[in-house]
Amino acid sequence: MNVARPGAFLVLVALVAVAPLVVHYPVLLTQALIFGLLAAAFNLLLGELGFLSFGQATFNGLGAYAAGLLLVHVAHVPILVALLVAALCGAGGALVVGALSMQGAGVYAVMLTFAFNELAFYLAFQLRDLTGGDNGLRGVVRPEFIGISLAGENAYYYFVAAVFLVVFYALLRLIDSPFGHVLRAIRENEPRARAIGYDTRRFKVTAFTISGAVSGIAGAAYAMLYGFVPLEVVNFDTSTNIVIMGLLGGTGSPYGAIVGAAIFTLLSDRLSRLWAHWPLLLGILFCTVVLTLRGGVIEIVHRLRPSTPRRKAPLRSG
Amino acid sequence: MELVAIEILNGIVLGVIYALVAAGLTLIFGMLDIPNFAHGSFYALGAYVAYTAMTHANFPLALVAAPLAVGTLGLIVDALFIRRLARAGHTYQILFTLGIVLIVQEAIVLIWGADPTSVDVPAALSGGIALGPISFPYYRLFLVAVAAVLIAAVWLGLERTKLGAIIRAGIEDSEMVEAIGYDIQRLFTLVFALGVALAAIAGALILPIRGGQPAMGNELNAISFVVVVIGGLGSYAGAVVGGILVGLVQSLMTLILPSASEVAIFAAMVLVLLLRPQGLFGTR
Amino acid sequence: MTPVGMLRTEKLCKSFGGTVAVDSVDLNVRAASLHAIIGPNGAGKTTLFNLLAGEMRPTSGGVFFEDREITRLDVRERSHLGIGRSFQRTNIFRALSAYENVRVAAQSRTQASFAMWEPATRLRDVAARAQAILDDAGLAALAVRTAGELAGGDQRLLEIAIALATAPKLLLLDEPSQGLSGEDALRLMARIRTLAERYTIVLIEHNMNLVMELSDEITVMNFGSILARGTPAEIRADPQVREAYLGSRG
Repeated sequence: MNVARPGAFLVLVALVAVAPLVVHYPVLLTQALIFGLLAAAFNLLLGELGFLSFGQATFNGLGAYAAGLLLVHVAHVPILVALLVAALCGAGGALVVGALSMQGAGVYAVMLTFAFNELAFYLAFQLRDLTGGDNGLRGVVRPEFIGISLAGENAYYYFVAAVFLVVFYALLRLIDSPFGHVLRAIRENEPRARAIGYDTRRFKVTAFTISGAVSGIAGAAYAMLYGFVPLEVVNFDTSTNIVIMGLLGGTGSPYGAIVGAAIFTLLSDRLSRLWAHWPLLLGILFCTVVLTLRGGVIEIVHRLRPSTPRRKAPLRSG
Repeated sequence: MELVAIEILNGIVLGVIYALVAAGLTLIFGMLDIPNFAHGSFYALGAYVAYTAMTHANFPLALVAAPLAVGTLGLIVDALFIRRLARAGHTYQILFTLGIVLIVQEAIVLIWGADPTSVDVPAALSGGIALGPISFPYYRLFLVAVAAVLIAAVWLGLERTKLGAIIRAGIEDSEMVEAIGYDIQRLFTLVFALGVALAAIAGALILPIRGGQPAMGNELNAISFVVVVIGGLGSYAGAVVGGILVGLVQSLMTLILPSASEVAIFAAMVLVLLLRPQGLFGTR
Repeated sequence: MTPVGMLRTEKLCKSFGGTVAVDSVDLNVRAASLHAIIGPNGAGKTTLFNLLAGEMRPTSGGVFFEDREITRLDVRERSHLGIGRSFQRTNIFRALSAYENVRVAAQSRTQASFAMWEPATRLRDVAARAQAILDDAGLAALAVRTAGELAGGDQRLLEIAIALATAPKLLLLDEPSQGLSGEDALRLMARIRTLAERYTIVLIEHNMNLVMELSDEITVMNFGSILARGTPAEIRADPQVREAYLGSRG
């Protein structure tokens, strides 16, 4: 199946490169890329491992606050260090949450990811000396990158684009790697994967940790985009939005996450201006996708091109 | 000392509300095996339906209208959609109910507005009873009594009636029960509606105390998951005891460290998870 | 005196609540033999199988593999010692290709499963092993097909091929012919005959034809304990077995 085949990825690189020439709104595009990272991290879990995580905002929030606090309180932090710290914090949080959540099986584990997300939210809300609570964490600076100023919105877009492409490429490699193959075996049949000798819990927690690292990077990029960290980075609505993006695009392909993030970002920007109650439409759209188009929007592409090797969306969990 | 007594009483009030919601979730999730992530949304809807009934009519009507209207909605949602998704698996049932969360939250904003709403305690139940040095509002006493009666009635209905026995048998072996002539799917849909109605009446009962706001369902969703984890998945007694326990912890924490009252209940959940993963009343 | 077997149990017991499912069973499976466990429904065969595979822990008694005690080891650990198993109800990776089903099982014998950068296709040895096993199972033509869409008989062969890909020394087969009929059952029988030349096999089976035809040794269970053991000819002639088992099947 070789998802890391260069063709599709090069098309993505080209699209990301020319996007600002078509849509003259670099902040929105940067946000779409950040959402793309979050959705890709989510899809690694749902699409490959078959695990529905309802707490992805936890790790997004950890990354955003970690990078934010570093950049607020410490002078001259290199931007890559900020991203690295965010990735490590996201990964660390995901390791703990993943290990504890997977104490439960099936739906129980899903509930736990959600409950831990609520815990993270209340912590961020109450630790206002650290996080600013519901006022948000203000004064996050955007460092330069090897002497290049990223103060301009286009410059920052291209920086985030580079980070996005590197991370996404790494995820594609991972999906094709021996590790990725084991994840799909677990998705299809966890008891059998154990019976042929895999320590499935270790694989699941590792995948969860990687997903947390990617979400942490996204959180840091978000903090630097707006220069502040709102409490929303860690709330339930953000986790919900990540689930929606992943599902809208489709979990059968890693590219689905990007399609979903792009659609979601554009819709929420356009529709929210037309009608304040657009989440109602989003909810209806989402339910429709769940009922009728389980492969997400990218499934349409595959249906039009039946020759494309198709990877099925997971149908079971728990 | 008086403060502690007051917080214990408040904790019980909050606790029975949690117990009602979690008991409903146990029927749906623990027994029917439907992972309903929109349970809190039905609680919120219950509060808002009660709000309309109370502002246009009266409190007794609100207590009937909320579970009836929301239960009917649950009936429709289950029969039309959730049951169909059963074959696709839990993941898609969870995702569909997540869609309901979005729709309900925004529908509340659309119909009732984004601002918090509040209603007065019904006149007949205003005032309070003197318990030594403290005074406990009649309304809260009434709330605890109604919740306790409902929790007991549902339990008796499941354990001691013929219908309850059929439902329990259907959960064990639905083909068998169908073979002896019962439409078990229809009964399951009724149980789903009953579970949802319990959440709705909890929302109606809490309204005069806490008022309503569109996102109130999310908070209760998280708390009822915590309750179910602490009490033990599928255990009705666990849901009730867990609910009251969580209410008490949350309430008493306001005396010690008010800002940590929400964090405390999640910490309690992690503790239970580490020490007794099957929950206090769980068997597996 | 019987030579010490590759797989042994000592006074193995398993009870559920008050019911004793396996009662003080001493099993002795010689290396390079095909050992069938038979018995009427409810005799405790499946429980015994689960105890051998590591799916359950015994209430008392021990399980030994190559003279090492494995009583407390779980399925995964037993797999790494060289015990492969098939399942009664076909238990495959349904949405993956037939080839990938076998390949991922072969990959479990490498140290590479946490590698995240190089493509899995680079594991040449694993690929070669998987292909060889598919060829051997007669599934080569179906390699690219989605496993869940294969015919029942092919799925059953794939089920066994997955276990073989883990390079077991001992193969536990749980009612492999269940649900198969006619040509499929014959194909499976031929397959097991081939495998019996290369592996030590423990087989639970209802199909008496298959058992009598292929077994070197048979253990008959009844009410949780061993009723008789011997060669197919001895078992066929045993009046106790006739009464308890063959007779009752009428």
